[in-house]
Amino acid sequence: MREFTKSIFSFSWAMSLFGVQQTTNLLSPAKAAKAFDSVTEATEGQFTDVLKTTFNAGDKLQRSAIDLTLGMFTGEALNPNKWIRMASDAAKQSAEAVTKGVQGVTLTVRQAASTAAAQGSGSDAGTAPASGTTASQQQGWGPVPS
Amino acid sequence: MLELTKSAISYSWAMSLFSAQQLSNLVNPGDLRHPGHRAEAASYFVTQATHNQFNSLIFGGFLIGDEVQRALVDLAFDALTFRAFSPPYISRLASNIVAQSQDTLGLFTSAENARLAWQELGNNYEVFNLVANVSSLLNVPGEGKAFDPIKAIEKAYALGEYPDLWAVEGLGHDYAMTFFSQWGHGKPVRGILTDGRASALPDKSLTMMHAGLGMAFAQQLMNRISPYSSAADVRNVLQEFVTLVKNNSRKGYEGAAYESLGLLTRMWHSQMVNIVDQRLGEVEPEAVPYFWHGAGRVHYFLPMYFLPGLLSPWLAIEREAPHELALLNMFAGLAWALTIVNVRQPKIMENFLKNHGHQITQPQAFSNGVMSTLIMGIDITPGDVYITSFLQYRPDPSDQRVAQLWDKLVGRPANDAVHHIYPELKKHGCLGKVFRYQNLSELVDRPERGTR
Repeated sequence: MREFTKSIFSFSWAMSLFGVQQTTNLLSPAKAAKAFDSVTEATEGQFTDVLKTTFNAGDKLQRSAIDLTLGMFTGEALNPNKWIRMASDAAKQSAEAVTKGVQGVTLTVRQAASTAAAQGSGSDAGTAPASGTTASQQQGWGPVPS
Repeated sequence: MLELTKSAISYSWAMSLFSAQQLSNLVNPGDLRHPGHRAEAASYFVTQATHNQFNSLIFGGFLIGDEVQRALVDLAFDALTFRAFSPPYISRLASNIVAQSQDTLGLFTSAENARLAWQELGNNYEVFNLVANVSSLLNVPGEGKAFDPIKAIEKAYALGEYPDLWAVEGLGHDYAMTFFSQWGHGKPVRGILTDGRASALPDKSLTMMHAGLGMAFAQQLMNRISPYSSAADVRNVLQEFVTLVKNNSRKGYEGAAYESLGLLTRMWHSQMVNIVDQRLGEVEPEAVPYFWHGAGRVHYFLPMYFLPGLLSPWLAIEREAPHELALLNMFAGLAWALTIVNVRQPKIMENFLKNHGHQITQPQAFSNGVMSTLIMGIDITPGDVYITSFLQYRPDPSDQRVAQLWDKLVGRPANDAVHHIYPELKKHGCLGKVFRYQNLSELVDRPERGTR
């Protein structure tokens, strides 16, 4: 419980400072977008399959919606094909999310039942680590001098 | 701006789902003996990914805030479980507060103390900037783009005595990073500092080039594990680190690269320090003292202790060291940093002995740190004018206590190190062994021994 409390505070503190960091990054939007993407990618890495599918569905939808909103100014939004493609994508993703959701819930229930029964196989197998690394540590405190 | 908007919404969406994921991790913990385990691990990775995006200032703020909240949470839990009301607990807490208050108040007892603390802060800041901005200073392409190390080293030395040392360390890191594109594609990385253009690197640059190399390896590898990773995963990552160091270092310089693992772990992954200590001992026991030396050295640069006199890193390492080997090496590492950062103003060291001499509970380790760092410094910059005048410095003779301390802990060992020990170590090609605590005179007699 103690470690869990610390990790919650640590996470919240990092998120608050990330807001400050991104405010300073606004001067270079590309850098700010890259920072958002890196954290989003790491967060996505912690999702189960169901949430990953849900995330991707929502993400695609919002990206298309933004493209369309901006398309109002360029005439793109008047293209019916675009609307049809977006609607079909959204339907496909939602169906996939629901299927995965049902599978996920079934799996979770089974896992919970088997865990409660067995109560204690591998103790320290943590969540899969975040893939690779980011070069961004270089931007931070950086290599420390001797 | 369009991409930024999409990324920002994507991020918000991910964060909303992350809350759901964490709720599910708590409801279905997997291992009922550690119900918060999954959720903690997930938070750890996202927090890591977030603070990897911070600039130096914000990262410093994060570290300070994080250490404070951890201490407060510990205190709160100890109070809730009534541990905080036991006499030994209260006495330890009180003695820590008294020792720290004495230390801080000492700063304001004279204008001279405050002036020297200010100068020390200036040195620390200058060094920090030199290492952090080495690419722009030397016009080296960043982000892993290839460059000629020989030309870059020439530019580093052109910065002059003192800045050259820090620039070389930064270059070692940047040069190693140029090989990570092939590493990322699964190709083996070999010979970074032994083959190709690097084979022509001047000998004088090798210690800190290796320190930078180790930093780059550690930086890449430590992001793969967390305090919640399995023992086997941690061992595999450490094994990979050791193999990379061995396959890319010149013989006799491996220690300089190993040391950076401690430095990076304590700075960026502080929760991993004791885990790495334990697993590194299983993978490569030889590297453990170097690891702790680096963990001690970095205390001088940790944001919590960045302001001289505010919080004492010397008290911190006494609290943090889990065993004697760690304590001795951390002490030596911290003395190493204190000496070399302030080598241009020996008065700062004199003042340290005057006000903090009582904190030197490991005098041999302290002297070892002073000796080792000057050996490294004179090797990087032969005939360094600042090191030469440091060796000749005599403290104010009116204060006998300080003069004796200087002679015993700094003056005599430093002269012995530079004039007698350094030439022997250089001759035997084992300069990398100074990056840990050990009896240097014995090392000179039997250089091949330099093990635990």
